[in-house]
Amino acid sequence: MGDIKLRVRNLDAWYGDNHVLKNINLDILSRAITAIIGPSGCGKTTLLRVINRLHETVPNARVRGEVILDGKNIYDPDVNPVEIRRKIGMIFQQPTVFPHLSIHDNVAIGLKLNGINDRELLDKIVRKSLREAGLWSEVEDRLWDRATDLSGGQKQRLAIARAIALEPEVLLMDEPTSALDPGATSRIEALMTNLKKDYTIIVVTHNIQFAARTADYIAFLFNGMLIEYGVAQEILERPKEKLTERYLLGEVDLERWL
Amino acid sequence: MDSRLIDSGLQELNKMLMELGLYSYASFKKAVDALRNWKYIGEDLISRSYQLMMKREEINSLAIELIARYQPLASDLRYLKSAMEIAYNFLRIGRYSADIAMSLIDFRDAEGKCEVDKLEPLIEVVYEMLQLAMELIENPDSTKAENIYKLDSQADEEYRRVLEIIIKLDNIKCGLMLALVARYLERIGDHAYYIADSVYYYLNGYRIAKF
Repeated sequence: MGDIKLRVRNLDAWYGDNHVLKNINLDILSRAITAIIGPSGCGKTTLLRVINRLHETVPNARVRGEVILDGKNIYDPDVNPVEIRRKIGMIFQQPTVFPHLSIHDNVAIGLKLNGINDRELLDKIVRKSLREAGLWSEVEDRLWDRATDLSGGQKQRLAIARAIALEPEVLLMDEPTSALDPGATSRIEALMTNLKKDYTIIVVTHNIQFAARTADYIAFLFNGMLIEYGVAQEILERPKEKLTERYLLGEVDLERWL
Repeated sequence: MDSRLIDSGLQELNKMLMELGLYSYASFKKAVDALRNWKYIGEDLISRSYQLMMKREEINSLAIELIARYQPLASDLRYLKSAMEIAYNFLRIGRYSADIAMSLIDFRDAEGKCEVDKLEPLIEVVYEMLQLAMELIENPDSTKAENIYKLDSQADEEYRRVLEIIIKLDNIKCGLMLALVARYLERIGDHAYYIADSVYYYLNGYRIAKF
């Protein structure tokens, strides 16, 4: 196993009275893809949102416990959440595309909001990010066109380019391929595998096959609890927990295995 | 569990595996009977081994289809992997049974001169191993599967004992024939071991012993 990039310690999260994450302890390894799987409502998206301090933006949402990035608890009072969200980028299921902005500026916007206005530097980073996101050859001759004409898969890669333009250390992805066709899906999957050379990736999905194709490590969440966590191949072939087994076999009514 | 789409496919596969096993087991019984009574049924057992090849191919096709359609995981995936392994081992058992029967044809002029009964202790252990393998296909059971390990050691021991007897024989043709048949029997025992091991892997996710 490689270095640990992120440690989640004794983590609990609530929406009002609803206790959605229960004492989660998890070590996320550097430069690898960790998939968080589990049925709808198990808390996997909340876990992702807690990791980059998006959870607290919801009224009545609460967090207890620690998320330690490179030795520093991101919930310490002296930590600026905006800075954390720059270090820990997020990609959503539906890629955000700013309709009034060009392809170029859709990538540059994060940099501009972070105070970078040097045209030359912006151009350089935009090109590099589009290349890394595997989109460059498709858009190089129309960088100043509006981004709304891009296909779904291209929009998702554009969102990835925007995220990596900020040079984050961790990339969080929430169902990044579930709205894409098989061709676009396989491009994103290949891209993720490329990106893990430079980034630590945590991806949330209820698509087990997607996790099976991409993940190095898999965490299985159920009812807000971390049931099992380990090397992907082992979890998929010989899970230790009965509950994980039943989930992987496609059983619907899982409560009785708790 | 609610019935899943894959379940009927898995049931069908299990049925095919049972059939293949019974067919292979019957080939072995015929081979032993031929050996004990010096019957010339080699050609028949060879054609049965072609039947086994076809049945095994059908099992593999269905297993691959189920993998492609349902992308199964955990014990479903292990079951499919085991089923393909087991089908191969039954095919080999059928083929070695045919080889036993063919030896009688190859050494036709030694009929009535060879002490075939010297092989009985080995035959007995191999029989027991195959019976255990068949039982495990019908009712997978880890503890029972582990018994194959002891039986395999016994088979190896009996095989060595037979070789010691053979080496002292004056009739070269008989010696050669008995040595070949003993080797085939020992191999059949090995394949029964692999079947038990596949069942064990399906149940546990790891093997009885490291190879």
